[in-house]
Amino acid sequence: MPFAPLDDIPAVDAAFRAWGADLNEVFRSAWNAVRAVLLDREDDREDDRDTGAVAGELGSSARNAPDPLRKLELHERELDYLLLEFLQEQLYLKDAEAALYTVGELTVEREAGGWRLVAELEGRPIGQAGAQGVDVKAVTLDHLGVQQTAEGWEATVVLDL
Amino acid sequence: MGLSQFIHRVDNALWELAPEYKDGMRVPVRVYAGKALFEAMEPEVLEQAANVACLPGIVGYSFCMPDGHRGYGFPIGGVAAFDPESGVISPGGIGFDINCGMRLIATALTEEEVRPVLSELVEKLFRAVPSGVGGTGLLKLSRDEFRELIAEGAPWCIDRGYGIPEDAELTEEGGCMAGADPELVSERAIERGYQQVGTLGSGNHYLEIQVAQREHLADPDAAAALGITRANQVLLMLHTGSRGFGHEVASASLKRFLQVMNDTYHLGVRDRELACAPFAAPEGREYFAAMQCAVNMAFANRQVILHRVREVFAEVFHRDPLELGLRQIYDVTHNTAKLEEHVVDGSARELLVHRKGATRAFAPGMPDIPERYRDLGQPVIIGGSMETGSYLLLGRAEGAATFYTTAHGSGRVMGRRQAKRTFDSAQLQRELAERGIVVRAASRSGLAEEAGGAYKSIDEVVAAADAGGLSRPVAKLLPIGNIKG
Repeated sequence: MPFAPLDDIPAVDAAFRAWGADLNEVFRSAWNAVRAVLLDREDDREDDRDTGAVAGELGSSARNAPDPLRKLELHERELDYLLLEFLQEQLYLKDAEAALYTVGELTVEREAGGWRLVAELEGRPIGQAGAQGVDVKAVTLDHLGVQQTAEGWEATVVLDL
Repeated sequence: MGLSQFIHRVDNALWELAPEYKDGMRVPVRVYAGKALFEAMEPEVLEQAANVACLPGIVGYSFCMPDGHRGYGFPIGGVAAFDPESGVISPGGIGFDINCGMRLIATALTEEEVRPVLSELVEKLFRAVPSGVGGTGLLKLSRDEFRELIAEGAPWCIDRGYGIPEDAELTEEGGCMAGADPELVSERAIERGYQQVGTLGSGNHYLEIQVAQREHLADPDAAAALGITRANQVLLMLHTGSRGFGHEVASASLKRFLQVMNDTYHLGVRDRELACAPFAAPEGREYFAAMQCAVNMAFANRQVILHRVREVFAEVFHRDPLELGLRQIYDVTHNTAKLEEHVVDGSARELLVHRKGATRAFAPGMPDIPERYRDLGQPVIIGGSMETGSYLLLGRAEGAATFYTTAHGSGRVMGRRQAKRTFDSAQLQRELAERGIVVRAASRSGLAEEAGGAYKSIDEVVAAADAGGLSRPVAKLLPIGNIKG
């Protein structure tokens, strides 16, 4: 599912636009876009076995192995804040578990008073050698948006690196 | 009317944007920059500084330092002081990387002594200091130990053998902000941070081996008093912050402030990244205490990295690191908010000073400067690109105009993606090697993002800060080895 870096927001660290036929797809695309930044890729290939981060020789050996599968449920009043929290979860897992996650089943839907997201995430440990990744500090509110278009949905996200 | 019609040049290195420019501006914007730097600033910098000028309780001016560039909420290089009773605190005025900062370490070695083992040193430092995505540090801490560390900062590490007491004495705030309260930090923040003490991160974070050449000493006497006494003396400069822990504290607080600023406090802001709360309100005070935990985490992070640096030098030179003269010159933070006393309209008053990509630069004689430096002024460490060099500066009395604040680095002129398209990492690494600069990077493409051409001229930034009375240069330090996150 598609996403593309944005060049029309000046001098930011990393910005992208993601698309999808429905909300589930656009949220998944945005997740993959953040993952691509962490892996320093410009596409959304899902295999990260050949990449990952460097830790020094005293590095990630002591980290807990990530849960192979985890469920995520989020509730927010606004759709763009729901996207922000969803993407922030990837950054949390990157640090807390030293793992990069892909998205399995994903549902974004309206609920009373706002929006609900339920997702299954599958994790792999960040590698210890041959790093090409770039750390992401935060998903920002700058230009953050999720809009319906004639073709489906699109999201705009700016990351602080 | 356009932006330019509201700008006038106050002095050679000072520009002012009148409060009539935008509805709601409570104070003018002041930008410290020479003509070329000012004209090269993106218009968004002034827009962001003008938005800051609209925040409740702001005192004096909304400032932008000479290295100012577009940020999130505040511009990078943004400085604003607020009345603690009527004003606000904003994570957007501090940054996601709370207490991102610089540490400068002297050695007693010269370039001639280090050159023969430079590649080995760079490689061993790269392996000793974890970098890149995630990254787990040297210290294997329990969550409870981490809570102690964020309450006590660098001294907690020193008490356990990761440094010497002098390191903390020569760190801003003594390496610990006393108001830190771990009870106000979320479990998520603890989980993100407790295994990252002693890690570099990525982006523009680095550990650099530098040389102070005699011809680049602007004030040799001051340089000597700070510990630079030999020709071609080797130093180390470290740039990193509070890692995932600080990022989580900032992101969570931003979200909390978004919820309460309109519903509870009826604070309208022009940019969601300027989400804020009254400093006197529970949300403001609690964020301040959590932020100080992140400040302490960053001081501890840099302390543990210094310890690793000492170990590597001892291994390579087969001598005790203190015999090798590995002594800290100073450690500064450039992403914080602090309560400080300043004179406003002739009266001393307490202010909450936000500095985002800006460095405190106290004048000679001020009590918070370590005693051995008090007559000189506060040391300021300005990081440049891996190609162009960095600076050691001193604070000065005229800095009162900006609540004693100066620049923090070069400031980007090119986005990271544009830099990656413009510069080739492999070619850059070869060219640096030809110039005698050995680079080891966790991310090869990240190397291109940090090319010298992606940044403003650090010489112009330092000159503007000097001309504006914010700080004065002591030494320019040239890179010979760089470990890039």
